[in-house]
Amino acid sequence: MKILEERQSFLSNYEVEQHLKDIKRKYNWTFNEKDEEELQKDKRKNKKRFDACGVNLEVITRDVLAYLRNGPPSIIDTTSNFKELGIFLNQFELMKVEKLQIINTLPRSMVILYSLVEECDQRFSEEICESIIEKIDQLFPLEETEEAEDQDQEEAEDEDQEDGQDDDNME
Amino acid sequence: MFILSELSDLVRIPPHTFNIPIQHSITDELNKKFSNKVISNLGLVVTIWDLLDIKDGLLKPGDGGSYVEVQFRCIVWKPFIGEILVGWVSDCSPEGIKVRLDFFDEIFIPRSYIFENCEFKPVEKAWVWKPDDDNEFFIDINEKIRFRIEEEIFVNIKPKSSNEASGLEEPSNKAPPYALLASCQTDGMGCLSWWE
Repeated sequence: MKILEERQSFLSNYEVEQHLKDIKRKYNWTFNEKDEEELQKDKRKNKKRFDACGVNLEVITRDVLAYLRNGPPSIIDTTSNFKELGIFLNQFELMKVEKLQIINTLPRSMVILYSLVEECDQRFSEEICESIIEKIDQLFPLEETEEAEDQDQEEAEDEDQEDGQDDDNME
Repeated sequence: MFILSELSDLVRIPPHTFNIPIQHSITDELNKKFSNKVISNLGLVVTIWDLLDIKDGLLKPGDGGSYVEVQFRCIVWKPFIGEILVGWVSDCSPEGIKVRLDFFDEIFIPRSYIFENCEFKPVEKAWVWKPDDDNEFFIDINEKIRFRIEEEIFVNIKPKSSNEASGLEEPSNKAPPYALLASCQTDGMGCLSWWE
């Protein structure tokens, strides 16, 4: 084995997630009951679990997908939203890795953004930083609070319902 | 962060896969070999991204398989120095904090890289950060924590000896092939709930 080029390019978490999801679909893998149901609904004829590529790929696909699903990028649902954020970030003099980190992390507060971007306070005015966070909130509104994510599924669902009621009241 | 790396390798195509398109059997063989494995000084390979070039197959006397040189790109997980990541605390000890991700366990925050006014409480088995006299923040096991990558350590793992492989002898060197050192010292780092 030879390494020709160590780092040809960076990938965002979103791209990796899409690639792994394609593999998972193509190979008919199921990692939980929900996957199983979806596979049953699928109309393709060949639903045989593909295993010629070894179990390691299956393990890492499951684990990386679990990691990405727990992280912020799972909120990015459409490619157009993803593109829009990318184009929006292009207008600032951010390094490529900084842009990618912002897309991967989706910072919601100044302190997180400052930790991602080096010397943020000297390079950018406060308005620019606020506009980045505003844009993220606008494109990917938070449905549930972070605390709910940490708690177990049941509680998270309760929280959702409460949120829904709050929305109704406001209307 | 995930990166794309370009590699080349000699792949043996086993005869029983001669009936399927060569791209498929090459991808399968490469996945078998590299997926979920660490390449020294590169990182953790996730999977194959695409194939760039497939040379003509070569035959070896006495072997039914064909040997093909392939140029391909693969997804590699290799966080850069200074990258900010989020993980779960898996263990706290007086030496520091162990952090895990879903697919990677070997991240360690040594004592010297944690906030200055931090101390380990053996009773609770937790690290406590005291930014001032009134406040106490706990870093407990299974808490979500944000940290910064400081250093990567690659260890060359030797093949197992025959005694170790057959279970007669405990493996002597258990160091992971790829480990990361992280820090937790600046604003925004530490448990996620602190900074909301």
